[in-house]
Amino acid sequence: MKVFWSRLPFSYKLFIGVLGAILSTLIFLLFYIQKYETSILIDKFKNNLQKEAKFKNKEIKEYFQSLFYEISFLSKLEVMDDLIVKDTDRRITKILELKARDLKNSITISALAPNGIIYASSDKNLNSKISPVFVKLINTFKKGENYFFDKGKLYFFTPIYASFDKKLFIGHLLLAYPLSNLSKFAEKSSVIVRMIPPKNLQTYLNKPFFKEIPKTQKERYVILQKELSGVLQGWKILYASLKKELFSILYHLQNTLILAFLAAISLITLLIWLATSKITKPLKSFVETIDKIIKTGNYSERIEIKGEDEIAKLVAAFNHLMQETKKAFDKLQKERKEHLETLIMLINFLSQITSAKTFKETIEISIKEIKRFSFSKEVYFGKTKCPLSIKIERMDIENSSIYEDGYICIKNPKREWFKNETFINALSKMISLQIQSIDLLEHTKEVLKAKNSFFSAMSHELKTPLGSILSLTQTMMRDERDIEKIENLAKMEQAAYNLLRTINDILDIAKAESGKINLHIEKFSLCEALKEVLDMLLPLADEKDLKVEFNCQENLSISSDKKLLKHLVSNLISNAIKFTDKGGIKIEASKKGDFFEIVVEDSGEGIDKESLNKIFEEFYRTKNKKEGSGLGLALSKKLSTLLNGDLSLYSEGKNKGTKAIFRFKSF
Amino acid sequence: MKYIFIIISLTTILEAKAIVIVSSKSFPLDKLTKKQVVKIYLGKIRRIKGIKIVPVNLKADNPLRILFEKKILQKDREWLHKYWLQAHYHGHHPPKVFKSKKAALMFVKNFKGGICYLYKEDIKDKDIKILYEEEIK
Repeated sequence: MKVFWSRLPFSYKLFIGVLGAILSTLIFLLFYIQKYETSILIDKFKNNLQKEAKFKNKEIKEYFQSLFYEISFLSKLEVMDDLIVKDTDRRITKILELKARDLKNSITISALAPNGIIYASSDKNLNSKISPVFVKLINTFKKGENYFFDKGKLYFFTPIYASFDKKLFIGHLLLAYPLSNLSKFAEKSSVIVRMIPPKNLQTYLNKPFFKEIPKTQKERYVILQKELSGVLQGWKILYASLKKELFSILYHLQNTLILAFLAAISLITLLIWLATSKITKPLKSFVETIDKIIKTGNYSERIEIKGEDEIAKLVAAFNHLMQETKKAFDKLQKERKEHLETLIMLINFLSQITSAKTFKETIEISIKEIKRFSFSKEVYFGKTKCPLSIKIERMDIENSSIYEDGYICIKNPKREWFKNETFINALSKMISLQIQSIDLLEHTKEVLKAKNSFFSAMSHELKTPLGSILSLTQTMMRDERDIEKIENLAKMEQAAYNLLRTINDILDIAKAESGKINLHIEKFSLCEALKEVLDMLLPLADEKDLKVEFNCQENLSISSDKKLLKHLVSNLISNAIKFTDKGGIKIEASKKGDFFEIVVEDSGEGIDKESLNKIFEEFYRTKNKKEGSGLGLALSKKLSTLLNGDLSLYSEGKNKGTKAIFRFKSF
Repeated sequence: MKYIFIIISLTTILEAKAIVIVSSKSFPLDKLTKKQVVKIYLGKIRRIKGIKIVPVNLKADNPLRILFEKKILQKDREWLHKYWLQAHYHGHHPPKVFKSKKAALMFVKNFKGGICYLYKEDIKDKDIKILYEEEIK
């Protein structure tokens, strides 16, 4: 989340922030309206209805009072005396009719004689009949009250006394008010108004106006109930308003708020977009330029400066930074180039001087090269030191000591490197090393040459008399009959033969070292070649009762010098037989990748660690002092190199056998 | 001439009638003098033997009333009007008025202090008694 937020563009962050603030305000306002305003509205509504109920109660009371006043007034009229004469002149009837018409609301007014007979009434049908409510009237009258309810009607009555004799009771004036007319009090009301009668009247009043709001629907309404007083004691007035309608203002307000907030969000979004585009546009171009610099490595890129605000200052600072970076970078580049040139120069110099074959040539090439890259016009070799000179050292091979042989002087070099002591020392070391290696090579060549010519001469000189000794000995052995003498002659022949073999070995080594051995490459089967060697040497092994094991991968066809290979392998096997007294010898030939491998392993007396390091040295012989010249392995090693391979010997130590591995490549 | 004769003849017939003052049987007196009748109708006698006396008049335009005022009370309308105007300020009211003779008669029957004037010939009821009688010529 944190990563996501940090990656978000600035404009989005700003927008989310402002949007969050607006939304939280909106939610708070909506919540406040929903939670508090509704209850305030309900309270206010109920307060108003309380007042309305009080007013309505008063209005109803006053209305009923006025009705009572009407009959009271009428009862005092002189004309009421006509009740005595049963309203023969119908004067009461006319007045009652007029009054009932005035009062409207289906009101009936009747004048009753003391016996209950109606002699005058606004309702013609009632004339000359005993009033159906007469008994109730009398009972109520006795109680001292002036109204009663009967079958959905409210009755008011007042006694009538003769105008000429106030003590003379002549009857009652009775006003009947149909309760259904009460609904007129609810007219013009903006809310639902109900009047709930006491239970005894409910059977006669079936209009919904007299019913309570059903329980199932109560949830949908805000309801206020108030007890009525006066004539309608025991009645309740009920006000109800659908919550939906009551809160319509709130809903409207909520909708208006939401619309206003939406408009505000749109406006703020636009403003944010305008503001952030002003900020982010230069930032974007800033980032793009940095990206471009990173991709192309072109530090000369600059960002256009617009205005003088903080962003412009930042851009200016960045441009300045880039300028400085470019300078530093160019400087580094230059230095790197110079270092590279130095390195190339040194390599060139080294390759040039290594091609020299003599001291003189080395000095000449050195002077030429130094002249070329130092741009100095005067570079020379001398025996004396000068202000800027390269010391040339040589080695006295006889004494293995170093001595100074001269100096290469450089005058006014144009390159800075020549002021660097390390550089000068490196040049000195290079030239000196080359000269020393030339000296050493020449010395070695001379030594080798002397050695080879000595061996060649010596071998030739030895081989000729030895040939004579051998042939003469063999002649003498053929002619001699005395066994003892023959044995002595045989020993002589053997000694001479051994000497000849040693001389041949020396000659071979000399040939190999002086490169006089010419290879005769041919294609042949390795296994067959090895078998031929084995066939030749098996009698020697049989003599010592040694077990010989030979394993050879089939079809090992190679191109090599067969004679030399056989010579080498024969050396290895004959060595193995020579140094093994019991056990056996194992010969294996195989191909491993590009290499062929011949392993000759014996269970003989082995070689100690000390001897292993010197075993390939010429004339080295192990401590067992077996017969031999000590040249066999030295020659084998040299032959292995000639045959494009290498020979190695392994032994775990004394009496642990020896393992010779010849690994080579086909030509 | 012919019409004058008829009028005279009718007058003669009328004059032959008698005006009677009647009351219910329970009225406290059986006879009244003309003077008493006048006093009752002018509100000067309001109780007899403790009983409230209520005289009854017919409507102002009734010929019988006109005749009664002329012959019995012997007062003209203007005089009576002034008289009752003055009496009003003393708390007295003129006699009760009924529209019909029938109502007046019924009142007399139902109220024992009530008296009214009628033509003698109109009296067919035995429940009432004649307190005073005067021939009209």
